[in-house]
This record gives sequence, C-alpha cells and structure tokens, in this order.
Amino acid sequence: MANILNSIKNHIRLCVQIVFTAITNGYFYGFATGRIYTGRSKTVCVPGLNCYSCPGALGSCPIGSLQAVLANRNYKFSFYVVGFLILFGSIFGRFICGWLCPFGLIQDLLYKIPFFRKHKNLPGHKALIWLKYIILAVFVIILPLFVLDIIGQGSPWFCKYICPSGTLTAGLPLLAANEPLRQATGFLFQWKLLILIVLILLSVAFYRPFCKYICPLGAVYSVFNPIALYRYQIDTKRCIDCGKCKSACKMDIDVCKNPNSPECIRCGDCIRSCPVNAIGRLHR
Amino acid sequence: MQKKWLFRNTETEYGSSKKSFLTKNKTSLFLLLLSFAFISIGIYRDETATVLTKSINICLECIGIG
Repeated sequence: MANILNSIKNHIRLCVQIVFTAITNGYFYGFATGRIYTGRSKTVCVPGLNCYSCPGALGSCPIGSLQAVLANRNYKFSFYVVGFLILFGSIFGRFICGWLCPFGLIQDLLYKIPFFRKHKNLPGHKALIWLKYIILAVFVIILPLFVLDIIGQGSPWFCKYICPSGTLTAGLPLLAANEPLRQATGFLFQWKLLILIVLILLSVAFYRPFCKYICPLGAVYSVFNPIALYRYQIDTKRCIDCGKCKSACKMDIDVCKNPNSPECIRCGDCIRSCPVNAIGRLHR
Repeated sequence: MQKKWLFRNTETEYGSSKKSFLTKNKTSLFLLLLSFAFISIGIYRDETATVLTKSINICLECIGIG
C-alpha cells in the first residue's frame, strides 16, 4: 500500500491527467455503442482539447464550440465560449495543457516510448512556436467567420482540416462502431489520419509537438500564463543560476529567467530539478 | 512580526514592501470577473443552444467526413 501511494506521489501529474480524462470522457456506454452523449452537460466547455464527438465526452471542446458559434450566422462573437476561455486561462494559464488536456496526456505517453534519440524540439523551433497563433487566428477565428456557405453558415475549419484529437478520440471510435460512417469516409479522413499519424510519430521523438506548434487552445492559454492566478516565481536570493531548471524543462524554457513563459505547461520538472528550491508554485 | 493581509500591502521584517494578494493578482481577478460577465451575456444571448446543438450531434467535420 505504501509503495502504491509512493508511486502515485511520484507520478501525480500523470495520475491527475488520467483521472481528469476519465471523468470528462466518462460516457463509456458511448464507446460500446458507437453513439455520443447527448445530455445537457455538453453545454459546458471542458478546459482541454477534448472533441465533443468523442463517444465518451461529457462536455464540449472550447475550440470546437468557439468555431460553432462564430460559424453561426446569428453571432459574430461568442461571449459564452470566450468567457470560459478567460475563466480557465486567468486561473490556470497553461497548467491545463500540462495537467488536464487529454491530448497532452496522449503525447506524454507517446514520449515515454523508448526511441534511440529523444529531442526537445523540432528544427526551426523558435519560428514554429508562432504557428499555433496563426492557426488560432486563421482556422479558428477568421475562416469560420468569413468563409460562408449559401445560407450564411461557416465551417469549423480547424476541426475539419487539422484537429488530430478529433480524429483519434472521435473519428476512429465512431468509425469503428458505425458501418454507415465508414462508408462515407473519403479524402478528408485520409488527410486527417495522415496528420494524426505524423503527430503520433513525432511525439515519440519530440516532446509535445502538437502543444508547442499547432494547438490553438494552447495559444489562447499561453497569453494568460504571465498573469494567471497559478504561476511560478523565482526566489532570486536562492537561485544560483546552475541551469538545471533549463536542462530539465522539456518545453525548452530558461525557467530562472522566464518562469512564466507562454510556453510553460506547468509540468513541474523544473521545480523538482532545482537543488535550492528557488522556484515557487503559488504566489507568495 | 510579519502579518499577512489580503487587502493591504505590508512591510516585511527586512523593510521591503510585500504586495497584498489583490495587488499582485489584480489583472487575473479582473479577468475572472470579466469571464463571469461574458458567460452571463452568452447565456442571455442563447449561445448555449448553439453549443449544445453542435455538441450533441455527431460532428461530421470533426471525424473527417466533412
């Protein structure tokens, strides 16, 4: 029993990720029957990138919901979804990416797969980290708002052409359980499957490539990182500038210089690595 | 003796100024209030119906059918 508790303590973040993913995708009946949950809890946005067409999903994806409202001809701005994003961002910042996002969990698990050489970043990292902001602006906001069909409705461009979380957690389970849906697949599914496979392979060798370079939800929360209620601070009197925090950080952040970097997912590796406990979790 | 106050800035025993919780987090607390206001406005505008309608029907775009 003591060993189990010790193991949980050493892997607390992984445990929280698994439990939260299980709770927010707890409609297990949906996986068995190939149906999605249709209850009223789906009015509420969950904090992570969790496709609402996942058979187990009990809440709504904030990015999918944002596109749905923007694409609707009755609205040009979503107070409701933006309110949720501000709520989650102002409290947690990118803590959500590190602890509560199901697709972040999947990437963390993939990175644990042994590979002959692990890297933190893709080549061109410094430029690529801006890509997620471009994807947010273009695919999540501009295209659903302005590219309209004959009746004035837009499309969820990010969900339709990019989102690997939707392909993995919604597309594959639903297609596996529904023959008519399988027959309706075409080039679009193949394209999304290709994106998913590439990201899965990259996630084995590189740490969280989707979070670093593509995720529009991470782009939103990154803006809140420096000002969220949950943030880090450095005790400059204790810090000896040894560089161990920077080495430990898989998001490649110089933590002692920029503890609230927009790229920080609050995994806590830097805190555990600091020999003088100079990095604090909560405000002081 | 150092006293912790929620609303007032205090002086530490070393003479430096220690900001109160509200002072240090005024931006995030303002954003928190703003988020509640936005969510309320969104509910009033019936955006929840749009979110619910989208989420309880299989999103063919999301699963790659289009």
